Amino acid sequence: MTFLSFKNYSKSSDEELMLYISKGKEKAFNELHNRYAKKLLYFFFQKLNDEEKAQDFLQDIFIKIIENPWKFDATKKFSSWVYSVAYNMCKNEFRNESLKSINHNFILNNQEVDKVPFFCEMDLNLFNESLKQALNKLDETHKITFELRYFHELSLNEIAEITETSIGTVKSRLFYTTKKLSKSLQFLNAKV
Amino acid sequence: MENLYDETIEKLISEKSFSELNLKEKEKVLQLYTSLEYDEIHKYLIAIKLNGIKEKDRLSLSSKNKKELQDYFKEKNKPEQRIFLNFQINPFNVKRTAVLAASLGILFFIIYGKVINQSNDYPLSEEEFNKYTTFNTQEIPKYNSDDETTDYLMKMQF
Repeated sequence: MTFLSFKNYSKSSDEELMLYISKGKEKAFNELHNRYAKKLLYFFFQKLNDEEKAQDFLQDIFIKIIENPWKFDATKKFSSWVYSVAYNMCKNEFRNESLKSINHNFILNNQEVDKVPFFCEMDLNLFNESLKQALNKLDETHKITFELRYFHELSLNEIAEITETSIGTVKSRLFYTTKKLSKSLQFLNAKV
Repeated sequence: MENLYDETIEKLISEKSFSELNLKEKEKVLQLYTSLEYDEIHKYLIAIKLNGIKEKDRLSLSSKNKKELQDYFKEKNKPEQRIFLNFQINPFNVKRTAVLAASLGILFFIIYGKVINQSNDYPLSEEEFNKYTTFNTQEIPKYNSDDETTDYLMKMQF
């Protein structure tokens, strides 16, 4: 009786939306796009350091969702699943293009960096670049765990699902990475 | 030692500098980091968060891409069309389906009324009516029964 009632998809969970999408509900797809497009664009941009490519990857991941919604395992969290897919897309790209060693250079769009505590005198560009370099020195598992947690604010559970490991290992990787970063970024301290 | 690293520690790192921690909190974090390490990580996490907000604001979604996705979704989920009596029936086109159902309904009642109910409307003449409703009991042949119950009933006086 959907033609008589107007379903409010904004109250549906991501997993429910995927079910509606598999039944061809366009509004459910729009809702899911609204929820995840920006987050995934940021994820791709942060991994690929290329805005145009990030837009293409974003398009590709939603095409995958449209074409194969049944590939989503409804027993899992959608966020974990979609980030796993996104992460695998990036890994394939690194493999194909050998981008791993690329020098990341965040562009801040000529916007003046707002004055913020601790960083009022520090160049955020320099920090970003140094952080990227420090993270690139780590192995991929530690790097992605740190990025998913602090760049994309996923829960420990979600990260454990994406990286196919236990929560204990996720915690251990985060601890190791923070400890390592505090050492490798020490030189920035003088500028803070 | 890394087992001590949990959401509580993370929350402290992201919210408070070392000097802002109370004694109990200091005790907890010092099991993992030196005060210097703690303050550094605190600053870095704040910077990462701020940078993330800025980057997300700066990145804009392409409306053209979204439109393309919507069109692709529509195309991919186009309902199957069948041809029936030269009619293209689209099951998701409510108006068409409703009109077709109503037409079929009307057609059914017309046929039902004209063909099936027609025999019940045949008017009887008085002669015919009497013929079918009047009985002469004497013309009814005498029964022959071997059944005791029938005998008993027939002999009953009303």
